[in-house]
Amino acid sequence: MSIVTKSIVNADAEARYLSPGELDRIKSFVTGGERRLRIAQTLTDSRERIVKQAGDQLFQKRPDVVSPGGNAYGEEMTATCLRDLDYYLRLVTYGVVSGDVTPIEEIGLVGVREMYNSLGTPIPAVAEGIRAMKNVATSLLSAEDASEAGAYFDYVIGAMQ
Amino acid sequence: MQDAITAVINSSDVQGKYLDSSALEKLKGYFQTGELRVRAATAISANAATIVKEAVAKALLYSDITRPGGNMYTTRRYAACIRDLDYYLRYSTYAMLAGDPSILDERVLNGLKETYNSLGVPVSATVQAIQAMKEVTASLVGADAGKEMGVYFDYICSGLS
Repeated sequence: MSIVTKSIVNADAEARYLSPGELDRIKSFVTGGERRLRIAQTLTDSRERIVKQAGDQLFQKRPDVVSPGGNAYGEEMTATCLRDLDYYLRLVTYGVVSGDVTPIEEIGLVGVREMYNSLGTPIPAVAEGIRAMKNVATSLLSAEDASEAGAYFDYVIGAMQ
Repeated sequence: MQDAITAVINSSDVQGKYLDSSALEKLKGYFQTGELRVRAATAISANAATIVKEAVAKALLYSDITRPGGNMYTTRRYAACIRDLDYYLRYSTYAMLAGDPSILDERVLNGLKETYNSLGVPVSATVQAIQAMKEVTASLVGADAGKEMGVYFDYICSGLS
């Protein structure tokens, strides 16, 4: 969903046209569209760096996860962990361009606890990895863009608390 | 339903892809026409009753359909007809705002032809009335927005035929 679909679904539930307030919100959303695309583009272009540096930060803070017995121990498991970080970065770019957290929620948060629990992955460590991605990502953006993108990282982190 | 933004996100996500340049171009196109869409939706919602009234006058009022034996004869049927036109206008406006016709499939066209057949509602007259709404709407919102609305009016017509 995006803010556009969400407003339409709400209006349709009441069999009405969109209210002036809803239309205004869509207008300011599309007016800020170029900026959203720029943010998504920067995050996409820098994804390898963001994931790599975030991984380094995470394994420094949580050496247990890459030590024997840790959930990201071994080359294959470490790669899987970094792949998951890359997934969440991608979902953040989806959230940024749609101006809504629903794509992130539907694709990557519903059932996430159950999934990681069944994999034996410590969820706080995943959240730590997302937080590290946020730090790296926001350092690449202007203050205004960083706060826009930061909200979507925060949403993911919040859902993993 | 999806909109121009979620359509792009959904098709990127099934391939596990970040938004590539063609996806970003599509989003940019939508954002650039966003204000036009909002303006048109505002004008249509303020004039919905007039649009329906004028379309009925143009396409239906002076034809056999409103005389005894016609499918718009009896006030109850007349009221049902303008209610349906009202629906088509509102849903076409939603679709135009979303930049995507999926809401028309899901919430208007699904089972519509069968319903009309069982009620004996003539499809050709319905199509004529929707085409008349297309003309009336275009004269209200201007050529560019009128053309975009036309896409969705035509979509309903082809779904009915």
